[in-house]
Amino acid sequence: MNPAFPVVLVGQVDSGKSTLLARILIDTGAFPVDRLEELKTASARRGSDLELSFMLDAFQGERDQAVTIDSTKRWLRTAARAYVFTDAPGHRQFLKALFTGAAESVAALLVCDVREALAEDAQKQIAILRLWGISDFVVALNKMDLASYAAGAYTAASARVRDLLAAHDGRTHAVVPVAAKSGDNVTEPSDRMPWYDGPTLIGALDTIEIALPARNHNRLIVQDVYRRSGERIVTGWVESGHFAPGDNLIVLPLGAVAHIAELRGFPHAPAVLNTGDHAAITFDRPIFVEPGDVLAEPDSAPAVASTLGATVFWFAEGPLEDGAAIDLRIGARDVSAAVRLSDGDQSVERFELANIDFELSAPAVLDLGAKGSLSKFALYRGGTLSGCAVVTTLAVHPRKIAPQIDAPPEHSLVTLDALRSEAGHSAGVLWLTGLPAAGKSTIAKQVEQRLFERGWRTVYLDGDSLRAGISRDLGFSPADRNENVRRAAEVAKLLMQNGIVAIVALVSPSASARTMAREIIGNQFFHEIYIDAPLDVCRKRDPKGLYRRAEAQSVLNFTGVSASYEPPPFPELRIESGKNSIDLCVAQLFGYVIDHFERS
Amino acid sequence: MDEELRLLEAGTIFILREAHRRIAPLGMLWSVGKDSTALLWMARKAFLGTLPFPVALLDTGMEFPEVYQFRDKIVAEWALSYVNHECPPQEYVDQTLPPAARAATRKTEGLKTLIAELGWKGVILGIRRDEQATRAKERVFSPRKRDGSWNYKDQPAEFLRYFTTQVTDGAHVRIHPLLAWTELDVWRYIRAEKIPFCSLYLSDGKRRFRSLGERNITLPVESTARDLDEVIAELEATHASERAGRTMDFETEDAFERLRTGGYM
Repeated sequence: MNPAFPVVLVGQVDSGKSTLLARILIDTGAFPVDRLEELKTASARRGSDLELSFMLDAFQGERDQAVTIDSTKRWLRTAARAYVFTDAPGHRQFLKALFTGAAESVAALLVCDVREALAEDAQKQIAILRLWGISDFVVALNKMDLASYAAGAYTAASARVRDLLAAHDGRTHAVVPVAAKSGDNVTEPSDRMPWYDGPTLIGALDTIEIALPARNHNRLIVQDVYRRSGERIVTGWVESGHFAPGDNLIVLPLGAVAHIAELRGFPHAPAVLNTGDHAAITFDRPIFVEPGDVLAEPDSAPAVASTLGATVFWFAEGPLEDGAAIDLRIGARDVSAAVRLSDGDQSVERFELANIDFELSAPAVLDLGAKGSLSKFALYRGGTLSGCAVVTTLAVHPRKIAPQIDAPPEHSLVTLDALRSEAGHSAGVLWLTGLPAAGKSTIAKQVEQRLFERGWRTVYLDGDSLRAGISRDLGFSPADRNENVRRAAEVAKLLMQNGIVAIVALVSPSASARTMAREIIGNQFFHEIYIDAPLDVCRKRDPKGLYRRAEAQSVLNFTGVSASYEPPPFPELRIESGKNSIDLCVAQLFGYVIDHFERS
Repeated sequence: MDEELRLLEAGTIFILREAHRRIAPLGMLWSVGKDSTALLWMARKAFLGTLPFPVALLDTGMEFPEVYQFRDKIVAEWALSYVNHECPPQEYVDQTLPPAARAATRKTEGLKTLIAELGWKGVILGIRRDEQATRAKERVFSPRKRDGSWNYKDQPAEFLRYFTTQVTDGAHVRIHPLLAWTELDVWRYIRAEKIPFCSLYLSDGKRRFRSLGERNITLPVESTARDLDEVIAELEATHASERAGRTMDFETEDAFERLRTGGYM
């Protein structure tokens, strides 16, 4: 069986949406007979024979006021296919509930009172549906019984509503004159309107076909990572495409690459994963993956961006202010963002549509033009879902692929093994080299903090603290600089031998001195991290005023001014701190460390 | 498994994993009926065989003997972390209530004490939209106030895979992973996955139970369906409602609404 075809009923309040859906349910045999008696009693209590809308409006508050407050879903089957219909409230104050009901639908049944023009509320509903990508409409011109079943009334109203939908770029499949109370032209053609030769309402709905998206790139969104007997199992869902063991995948936003080792499942593992499937996979090497990451093929990967533009429908109480901080959920990733309104607007009021630019605090993966949750995201304020958004523009990060190196820990060091199994990570030295003000210490400190929060044993060493103590006797001549590097390397080695991850942030401009450090520490424990920012960027940043002082006072041997920096030709990792945000740099190094030090 | 069931199952597993990722401590109610047993099966799939949260029965002591037997079998075979939570006794609730409402009130009160004792912030339940008109208006992540009550007039928005998962202090969230399923979907899934179910759902030759509740307030329907294929064929043809045998729905017009806004499942 195919999934039920989802249709939402929208339209002005009192146009008869709930009554029409009740009529459809009865005429397609979907309403249980025993519940009809119940409705007659409830109707009689309110002075009516049978109030059809009570089938949907289940609450006392809805029945007493004869108004729908919240959306409801009903299933039914016609000769052509299965449907799930959503009855949405028409009142402006319930637009949030309307949107919730409409969001899963692919087509809309617009219900209008044939005697009335479509007011602002219905136009707003149409705009929301169009934002969400719903473009297929069938129109029910209802209450023909109150317009004497006259062709003239139908013709005038039909032209109005067709024009309106065309103005919103909607596709009108049919405009059907109906009387919901009696069922005229709902499932059966009406004898009372012989002048109408179009389809019935259900006949019109039955013919709508929704084209599948042309693009079907492989996208797997990571929801969670489970540890099962020392193994990391990545779970999530297939947003689109197919996945199978052996597939080579890039993990975004950080850019590590690995193959799928196995698909997992209970009680049986599937052979292949298809669009929509729940997924559980393992990789062939220990890479760092976290909730919110997106797996894709390297040559058809989605975009990574930290600035984006989107059209937003805001439905929380209280406006959204320009400059406000807001939480976003994109796919499975939570990220905070700053709001930038366009056109000098100060705020977006409740139930308004607006174009907004977002500056994200960390890069996110997005798929412009795709149909699902990588192009449509959610806004949260105070933990409550407060708005929806459709991405319109992206400022894309250049994608970096982390280098793959094989540096297995030395198994002969028994004490290190013991330390590693207790701490949950192996020991080693991260040697951050780069020009003054390239961002070495900023990145190092933030990565250290994140590792600490993960329960790791870390020590941070930088040039200033070394020179304040252990290297107090040294100056900045090439020989003294080399000695400083030697002492830093020896200290880092001692720490490393005690199971610690030592993070050294040192200009260390000489390539040969860094090679010496590598030899002292041991190649398999030494990770050279090149913090790469162009000289002019560093000069401009200059947080400690070092460049200014060096230039003004002609400081001897100041790297970048009066001494040269020798960039590492083959660092284990290169971080472009001149081009990218600090957050991205930190995330890149953090991901690298997890990949290389956290082995189960 | 056909396309419809494959997507329904994937949607439910996503919701279960999302609840586990976002809300702790978390627990699940299991009535031992067909829906929550199928949900339990999907939870085992979602978490690769081992549930990361306990499963509780709100026990009034009034379930059918066959229900208790089936419960014991599943608890043992599936190695569940199972909590048998006794509801407050009959004398505890308002004696002027009609009998079915009294049983429901015992369950509502039982759920409150269960949540208080275990400190649950999230409760997973196997209700479906097509069961009953007020359940049709439910959210997947449905916040409850501190007293357990439900404000249906201002429910949070939900769309795609985005829900309001934050829990207010002292309150809890109800998680409903089966809202999108129909009664027929559940039976077809049970058949496809060969999930065990309580024998009372099959006919003794004359009657069977279509919905299982306490033995003093649940009535069987006339049926000759002796196996799953016959149950499914019967449901494809019927025009009677699933809960027609559940007297608690019918004692007054708003009986079920009052039970649910007060905290019933």
